Amino acid sequence: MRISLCLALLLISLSSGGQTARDQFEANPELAKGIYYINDYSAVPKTRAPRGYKAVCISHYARHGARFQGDDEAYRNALEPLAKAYEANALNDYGKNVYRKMSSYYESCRGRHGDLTPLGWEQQQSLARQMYTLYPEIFKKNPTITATSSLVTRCIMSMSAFGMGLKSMDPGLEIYEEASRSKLDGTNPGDRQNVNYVKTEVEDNPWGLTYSDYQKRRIPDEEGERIVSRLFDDKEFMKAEINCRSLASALYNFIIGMGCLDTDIRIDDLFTDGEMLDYYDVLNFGFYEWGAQKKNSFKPIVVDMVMKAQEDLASGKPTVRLRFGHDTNLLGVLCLLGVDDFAFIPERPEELWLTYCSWRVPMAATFELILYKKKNCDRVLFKGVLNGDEVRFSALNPVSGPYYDFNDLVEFVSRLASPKERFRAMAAIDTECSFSIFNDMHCNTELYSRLASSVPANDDFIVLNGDIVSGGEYTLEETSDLIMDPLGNLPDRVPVFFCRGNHETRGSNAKYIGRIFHMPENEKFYYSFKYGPAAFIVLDAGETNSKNSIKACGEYFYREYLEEELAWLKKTVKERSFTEAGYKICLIHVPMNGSLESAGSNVRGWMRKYMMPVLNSAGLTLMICGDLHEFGFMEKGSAGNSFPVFINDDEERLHVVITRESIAVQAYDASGNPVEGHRYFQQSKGGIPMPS
Amino acid sequence: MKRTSKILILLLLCLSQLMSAQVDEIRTTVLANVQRCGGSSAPYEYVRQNYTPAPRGYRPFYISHFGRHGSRYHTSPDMFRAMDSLFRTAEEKGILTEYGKDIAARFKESSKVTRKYAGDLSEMGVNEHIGIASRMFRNYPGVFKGRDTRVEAVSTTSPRVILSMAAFCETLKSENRFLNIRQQAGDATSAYLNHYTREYREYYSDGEWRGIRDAWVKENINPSRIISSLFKDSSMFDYKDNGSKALRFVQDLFSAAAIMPASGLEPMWDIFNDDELFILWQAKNMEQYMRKGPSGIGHDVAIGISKPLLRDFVEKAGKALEQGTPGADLRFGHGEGIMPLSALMGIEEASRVESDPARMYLAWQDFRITTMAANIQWVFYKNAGGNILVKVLLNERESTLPIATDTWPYYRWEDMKSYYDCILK
Repeated sequence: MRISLCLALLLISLSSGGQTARDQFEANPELAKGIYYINDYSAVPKTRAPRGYKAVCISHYARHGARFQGDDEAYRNALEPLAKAYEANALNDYGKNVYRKMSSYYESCRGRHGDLTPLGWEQQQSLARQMYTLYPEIFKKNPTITATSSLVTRCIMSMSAFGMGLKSMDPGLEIYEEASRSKLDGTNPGDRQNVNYVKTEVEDNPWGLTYSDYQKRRIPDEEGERIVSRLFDDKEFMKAEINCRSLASALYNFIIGMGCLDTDIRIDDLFTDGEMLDYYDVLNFGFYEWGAQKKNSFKPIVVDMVMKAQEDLASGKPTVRLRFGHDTNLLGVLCLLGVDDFAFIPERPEELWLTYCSWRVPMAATFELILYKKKNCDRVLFKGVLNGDEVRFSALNPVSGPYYDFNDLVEFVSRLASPKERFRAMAAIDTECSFSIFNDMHCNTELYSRLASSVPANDDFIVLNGDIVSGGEYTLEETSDLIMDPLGNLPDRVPVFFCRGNHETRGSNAKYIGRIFHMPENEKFYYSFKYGPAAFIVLDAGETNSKNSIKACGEYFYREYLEEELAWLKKTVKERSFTEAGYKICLIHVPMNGSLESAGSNVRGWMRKYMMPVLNSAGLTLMICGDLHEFGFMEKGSAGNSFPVFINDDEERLHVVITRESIAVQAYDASGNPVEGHRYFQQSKGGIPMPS
Repeated sequence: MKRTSKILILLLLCLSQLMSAQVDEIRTTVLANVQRCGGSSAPYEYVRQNYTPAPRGYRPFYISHFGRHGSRYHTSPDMFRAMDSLFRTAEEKGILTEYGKDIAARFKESSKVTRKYAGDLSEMGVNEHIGIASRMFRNYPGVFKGRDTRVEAVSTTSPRVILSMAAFCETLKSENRFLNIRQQAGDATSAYLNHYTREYREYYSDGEWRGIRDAWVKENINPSRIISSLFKDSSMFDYKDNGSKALRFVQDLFSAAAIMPASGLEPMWDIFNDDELFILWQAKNMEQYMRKGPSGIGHDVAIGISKPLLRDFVEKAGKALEQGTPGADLRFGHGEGIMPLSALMGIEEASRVESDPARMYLAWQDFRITTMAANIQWVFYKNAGGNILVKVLLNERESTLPIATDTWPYYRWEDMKSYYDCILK
């Protein structure tokens, strides 16, 4: 239903948007300069925020300001054939004039290719001043401003210019600027220097064409010849010595870049508006290949823009995050987010320029997500602004005008993120929580993978509640295979939380087992996390076999470790994120079912004596264990526990669903069928606070 | 004859006394602040100065500056990675001492950080430039007063250098938001800020300095105490290769320790005792001096690379004087700028020539010249009669040039210009 609605919206927008693109080109032929177009950035967003809403965060991505051509060849490809013709006296007066102008222009560019031009510097300064003026509710409140840039010089210079622009408005602003291989995810993730670099596949072209295929298809040889012949007297020379097709293309490239320097030298009259549009169309197609088709490599930028904004929002401080990068990156971002019609794929490639508009990513192009909050209201709104124009998000439903619900964006973007990032984002906004638990597989990978095959697609995470392996002398790689392989592609989709079982303390590689789950080294196997309405405490009993324990640490159990764990537990249950959670779940492999008398020599008794009271007074909703290799259920009060304890069988997957109204636990067998009686259900007593 | 010999012996004794006093003084200075051992890897050290007042009637109006990027992480992640892996291997072999295990854990932690940030400007580096810029503004307010006052800054294309420039310029802008600051970075600016000639590249990678250093290191550095404090046995260091692996190891260990303060990491100076610190510092100092300083080894090919930079100082000063309005030219680069330039300019403490490896550290000390954020400032003063005096600061200390003056540390611009024109011919 949702998909068809989006499609319908896209189709509607295509008809109006297509019309708009044509109109825009007619009104402003300069747009045919594409990514070299010099926007005057006079447009400013006009729609007022819904009543009571005020801007609180800006998440920004900008292309560097105007620059010289990317390489010297871009100049020389046009100049050198003309120089040859000039020397041979083959040019007409107009041609000679054009050549002289180009040579004189080139003098200002020699050796500067790739650099930011003075105009580019000015653009970024003035955009900074504009941002400051547009959002006084942020800038007057001492915002946290961080800026990060691609490692390319012109981008760092753009960042610096922007910083200077802000300083000129308020010298007291503090701006933290960075350009680091470790921060490229937000600016230029495809750079090989990125410490998180991941190679991504380039998508196939929807029409099966490459840039050069389309160039040949779109511009006939005669067109190049017609343009070039305007410069020549000696047509014989031209035909014999000049490749008109490539020269016309080089001339187009030369001309479109000329606006980046603040000079009066122009040769725009060489091409008609129609011809300019033809060449633009081809170049635009090229940018489809380099931007849209590579959009997967730009996912980290989108994730950074949205997830960091979510973190900033949680900080409660007004925040501005600035990013400086490149055209193809921004085009990819606009496609991924479905901004306006950027993601629309027309039937024919000749219609692409109407929806996929690379001229909207000109020098210093700026795309911002502006987040708005209202006092005493949990709903956060946002809008997207591209070069001052408010944009539409084709995959989301607006709340009012260009304003959308920020949680919708987080949910949409979390699908592009890694399991960890997705988890972090959704943990803060999801109203429900569902997950599967496995325990006591003891290397039985056949059973384990059958159980794993029925994990519902919408589960938010997986819990491995101990003894998935039996310990012993496996290498870390073998252990990893035994634990992870039966899960199939689940770990690619959702995070896997590991609760250590007693067997997983055994063997010389046991101490490294956390590496499989990317847990920090030397980290303890007890920790806490939150997801939606529930807070989780993961506990670790260590070794239960007293002989083994005595060998390892001279005690019947890991007393020192457990004492540290107890101190941590006492602190953690007092933290706000735990006390305020609607449901409080404890996950531990070993049940706390020893006798109190055995507390000195048995870990189960020790935990019952010391840990159970802490959990009782913390108001635990439910404890989930394994270890016994059979189903068990301990009613409240049966062994000093003021909460129920569910012990999962070693041949069943436990599935937990927590909603605002209830918590439901159900065990499933290897065929995916619910096991009768192995279930637990509790209705909420109401007043469950939900994440805001 | 007898008498002459006696005098000679007495003279030699006096000389050796003097020399040993100098050795003591340098040793004390180096060890007084252990970070100084880091030399070119050390964070910037600013010591509050009492500046000599300018002669009556002279006011500052223009500054020309060169600054090295601020404190940074080690330029390559490999050194910490290699240390981490060496200690891991030793741990697996069970040959680490308790202290060795502690150091291993510290390398494991720091390697995680340096892997990500190799080559980056650290927070300390940003703050160093903020500090230098603030003092420049405060000490010479006349240079930065008014609206639209021109400040032009240029940088090499290295991100840490551009970010140093940005931090510096933003600080000035914070002090006077009406400054007209223009920054540039590109191949064109790198060409004179980092003018690496082919001869210099060749000399840098494999000049005669290498043999001199290696011989000195072999003769003077004994790695055994350090190694036995970390390892239960020395099986990791094959002594069949004449101990060069062990020597390399302690020097790398020292290099790693040296860069840690600038990276904001917990330093590891405790690995070394004072004698080791002093001797390892000498080795590093010697290397910098021969590779990039005025040692006379290698026919001063290193000094020559700063000629375009000095020319830029002279030319931009000419333009600024012509304009006569206040302003500043700022330049940001690398250690390969500051060491040769300070020598070429003839700054007294930076240009002493000494080709005897044993005495190099007496002539030239890296921590006085080329720490992170090291800088040279030419401060121009003029009086009502249009006479121009220049004071040169090396790391914000008043410097002495090989030019006559009655008003030290202020030199007549004409004298300075003709001296430098002569060098640049």
